[in-house]
Order: sequence, then structure tokens, then C-alpha cells
Amino acid sequence: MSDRINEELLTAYVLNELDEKERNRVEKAVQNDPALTQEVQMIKLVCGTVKSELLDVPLPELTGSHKMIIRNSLTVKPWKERYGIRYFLEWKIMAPALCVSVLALLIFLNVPAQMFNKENVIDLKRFTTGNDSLVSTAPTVRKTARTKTVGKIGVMDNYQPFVSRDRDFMNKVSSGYFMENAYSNNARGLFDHNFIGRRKVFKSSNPMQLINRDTASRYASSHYNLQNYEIIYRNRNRPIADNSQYAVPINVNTTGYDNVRQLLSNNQMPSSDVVKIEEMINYFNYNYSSSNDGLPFSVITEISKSPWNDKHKLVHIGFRGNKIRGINMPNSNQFSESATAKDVRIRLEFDPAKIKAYRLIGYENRDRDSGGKNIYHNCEMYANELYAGQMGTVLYELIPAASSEDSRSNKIITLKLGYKLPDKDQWHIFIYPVSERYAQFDDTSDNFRFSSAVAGFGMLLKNSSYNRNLSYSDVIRIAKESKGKDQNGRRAEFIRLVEIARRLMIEKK
Amino acid sequence: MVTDQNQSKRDWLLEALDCYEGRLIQYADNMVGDIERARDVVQETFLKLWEVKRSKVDGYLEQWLYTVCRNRALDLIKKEKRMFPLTLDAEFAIPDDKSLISNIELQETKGTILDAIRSLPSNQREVISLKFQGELSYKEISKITGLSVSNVGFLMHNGVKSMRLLLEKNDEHEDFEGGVRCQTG
Repeated sequence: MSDRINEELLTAYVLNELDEKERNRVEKAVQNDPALTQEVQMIKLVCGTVKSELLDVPLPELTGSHKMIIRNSLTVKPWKERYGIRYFLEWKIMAPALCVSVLALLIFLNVPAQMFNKENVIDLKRFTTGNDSLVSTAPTVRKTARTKTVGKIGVMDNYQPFVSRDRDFMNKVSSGYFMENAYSNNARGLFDHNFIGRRKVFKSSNPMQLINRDTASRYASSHYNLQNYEIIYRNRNRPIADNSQYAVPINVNTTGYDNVRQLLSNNQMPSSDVVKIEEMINYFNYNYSSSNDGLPFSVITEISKSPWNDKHKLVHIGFRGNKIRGINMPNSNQFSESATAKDVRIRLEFDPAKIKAYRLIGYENRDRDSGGKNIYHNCEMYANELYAGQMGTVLYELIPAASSEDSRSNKIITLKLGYKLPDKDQWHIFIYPVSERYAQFDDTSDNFRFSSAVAGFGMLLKNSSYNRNLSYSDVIRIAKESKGKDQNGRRAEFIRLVEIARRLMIEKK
Repeated sequence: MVTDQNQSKRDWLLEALDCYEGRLIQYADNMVGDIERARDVVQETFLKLWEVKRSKVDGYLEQWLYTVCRNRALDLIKKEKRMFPLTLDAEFAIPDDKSLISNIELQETKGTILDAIRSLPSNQREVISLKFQGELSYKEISKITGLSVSNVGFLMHNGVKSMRLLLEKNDEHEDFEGGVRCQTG
């Protein structure tokens, strides 16, 4: 046995504790000495065994009472106790001085006058005429101090202005939400309505009237009460506009997830612009079941509370191209080249009596190419083609309206689906009312909870202001509980990535 | 009174708790030999963390947590005299295989890896625990324990040797019925 190599160096070498010079020295010596080689093998074996056996050991936890004691102690001692009377006196002097100087500044910047300037409030009437949608005629609102104080216009992190006539509501909303039920008045739109003002349109409790005045009369109102889908009807003569510019694509890449994974695997926190929540959500297989009703694709919806804000709801919408009858699909997770539908368009209509505002989750950076002008009706989605077995998932966050007791229906969302069969030119329209009844968060499907964890993680990475109270630990807990079978191991990998992100955030904050 | 700053410190601390509690309890358990006491030690550690200015631990949180946890554990041991079969001041001499075994309490191990680690002499046990359970480097271990890096290397090497013997012993147990057998030679 060589004397030049200290035994301890061998262990340090196996444990990767040597610097390059030493490591090379040891490697050279080991290569030339079979006894050393054997020793190193043995050390590697022991270390490997210890490591792998420890992986199987579940980590212990503090008991409930330990945690309660810690939580109870996380309060601040009152000012007097902490700093004494000296600070108390100082604060008394500082506070009024601050107020006076802030007031002076505001007056200097002419803010109060602007607050009452009506031009800052976007007049809804401007949007009811002409061919343009609400989205494109909204003036670009920049984030300035002025807009912040007004509180009636704001810019969200997806560059869409929010507006509302309801001042009380706007004052209560802490961050921006797109106005609900802003329909296009585009006469060439697939789902158009003659929309004048919100309240006028929804005066009637029967939404069938709104869908298409020509065809609504053909259908009895009793259909309206069905829980699942209602009626498929054809709409041969309606001219179709190319709405893809205004709608959100269902088929998304998943490279956004790959980038996040790569960065975190290198112990780097992804920056906000790398994080694409819609791509992260769609990276996972939710394995929606196909419906058997002869439609070319299935839609599933699930509603519950949002885990990052328990006053809000979350709706999970999943699409899957159905299998084509007679074709044997070897693997139901793969989609064949055969399209089951084309020019698929989906619009969500939220009942304003129940939903005050909604927010599409993800798709934030996509309007960059258009020069910052938002181009999304974010209640509309499309897919140019939908293949058999192909799946897409979209999440929406909903703010419930103040009181929904006076509503006669329990329908909260109307899903309107338009599509064409692959070899035909005829439009089919499919109306799908979604019931308000929702499960408690813990009773929802694995898919619902897991996708909400993924969305929550994306929001944490982007430091989203919509996140009220969700932590990395919460994401981990939800993801672990909803991991399910996880046949491809992606969900387990996700959990590991969130743990890395959590550790990075704790250490570096 | 809860200000925004304190709220975020609170959230940060609770996140850190979720992140580190498991490994810290394991470490403390290896030090004091009692899982319930270990939990108390870890609780105290986090209570201390709340009192500290966050800027003082930024970038060093893991090291800080282990160091404080260690000190709490040592205080507890001193207070309660003997918590664990082996004392802290084990010999530092290089043992050969025979004396190594005599230093290790030949308790009937249940054969788990945790029991194997627990059977180590306390100085080796600490270093092995920090390395394999805490996943810390020699340098970090040196900072936490106050030992020099070469001392850490020395103890690690002996710890690995001891683990090797213990694991081999456990393998033997599977062939024998009951009793504890020494490896001879």
C-alpha cells in the first residue's frame, strides 16, 4: 500500500471533497495500485449503501404542538416594549411630518385633480360600437403613479387593462382583473351578440336568447336545465372571422417547463420571463377520458377554491380529442396524425350574477410581438386542429360576485364550442353549461389539485401579485397529495424542482 | 402588531421550517439520542431564528441552523448528564478493527441504517450524520462543529470504516438467528 496516499484522502476522494490537484494525484495513485483501487471500491460501496438506505427513511417532523408554539411566537413585541419611550416619541413626530410631505408631493404632482378627471375612467360606451373588440380599443395604460392612485384603471402583469363601471367593486379589488363578460361586438364573430352594455344583455335569465337570436327560438327552454351538454346545432350560414388573433391557443409547447427544469437543476432560480405557466400546466398528462357521445372531442370542467386565494375560485378546463372509432390506438397518450376536429373555437361566458371577474392563468408574454398591445380576448380559446388523444388544459381564476342567491340557475359558466369536422366546412356549435356546484378543494380530482399546484408554482416563480397566501411548501404538499399514479415520473420530478426552488429562495432572500 | 415586513419574515421562517425540520431533527436525534428531545431542540432553534435579524443569516441559513441546533443539543446533554450510552469525549486515536469494535456498543441492532449510525462513537456519528443526512461538505461541517477540516476528514474516514463493519455485521445477522456475533480477525 502506498504511503504517499493517506487513507483519509481516499474517503475524501470518494465523497468529492478534494480539489482538482489532490483529486488527480489520488486518481493517479489509485490507478497504479490494485490494493488502493479495491479500497476505493469498498468505500464507494459503503457510501453508496448509506446514501441509498437513507433515502428510504422518511424525514421526521415536529409535532403539532411544537409547530403551534413556534407559530404563536412569531409576533412582534409592542413598540414600547421593544424600543422604549424614545422611539415612541420619535414616531409621533415622524408620522405627521411624513403625511405633510406626502400631501405636498401629491399636490405638486397634481394628483387629486387627476383623480377626479373623468377621462381616466374608460367609458364603456366606446366599446359598443364598431368592429373592434374591447381589447383592441382600450387605450394603452401605462403603469404610472397616476393610474395607481386612481384605482379604476390598472395594468396587470399580462398587460391587460381592467375597467369597470362599478366603482365600489374597483375600490375593493386589490389588483387588476379583466372585466367580465366583455364580448366582441364583431358582427363577423362566431359567437357574437348584440352587446350594448353588460346589464342589458343579461337582463334575461335565459342565456339561450343570447347565443343566436336566429336559432334560439328553435329550442325549448327546458333544455337549458340540463347539467351536461345541451344541444348541438349547426350554423351553416354564419360568416366566420378569423378569431385566432383574439383567442388563446390550446395547443402549447412545453419548452417553458424544460427551461425551468434546466435552470433549477443547476440551482438557479428561473427569472420571471422564462416562466410560462400555461406551458408548465400542459407539460403534465391529465389523462382525460374520452366521451362517448359522438363528439370529436371531450371537455371536462372542474371548479373549486383557488389554493392561492381562498376567496376566489379556480376552474380547470380540459380538452381531449376523442379516439376515432375503428382505429386502434396503441397508446392512448400519444396522438396520431388523424385530426378529429379542425378550427376549434371555444368561448367561456361567465355569469355576471355569479362571477365578478375572471383571469386566464398563463399566456402572459405572448403579446410582446404585437408591440405590447394586448391581443387576447382571454375568454376565448382555439385550436387549429385537434388530434385524437391530444389534450389541452386551461385554468381560470374567478372572483365570485358579492351575492349570488338571487340567481335562479346554478349555471356559472357557459362553454361555447365551435368546430368543423376535418373534411367538412360546416360549423358545429356546442353549448355546455357548467354547474356552479363545486367540490371542496381536498375532494377535487388529482388533476385539479396538481394543476393548481403547477399554476401556483409558476406564480411563485413570477412573484405574482395574485398570489395571496400560497408558499412553496404549500405547493409541495398539494403536489404530493395529488401525485396519483404518475406513471411517467413527471409529477415526482416536479416536486423535486419545487423543493430546489424553495431552498434557493430561503437561502438567498 | 404585524407589519408587512414581519409577515414576510414569518412566512420565510415557516418555509425554512418546512424545508429543514426533518434533517435537523435527525441530526439532533443523533446528538441527544431521543427523538422527542430532538424535536424540542429543533423547536428552540427556530424560536431563536425568529429573534435574529434576517440580514445576519442571509446566505448562511443552513449553517446557522445546524450550528444553533448543535449548541442546543450540547446544552441539553450537559444539563441532563447522560442522554446517550456513549460520551462525547471518545478517543481520537486511530483504531484498528478490533478496538473499533470494542468501542462500538454491540447493542442488538435492528438492522436499519439509522441504528447503524446511532451505534457509532459520538464524534464519528456527528460527522457521518452531517455528511450523509445533512448532505453538508467537509468545510460546512468544520464550521458547524468547530473541528478543523482535516479532523473532519479523519473522523469521516473512520466513520465510513465503522459503517462498513456495521453493515457487514447486519448482513451477517440475516444468516444467524438472534444474538450478536462479533466479526473476528
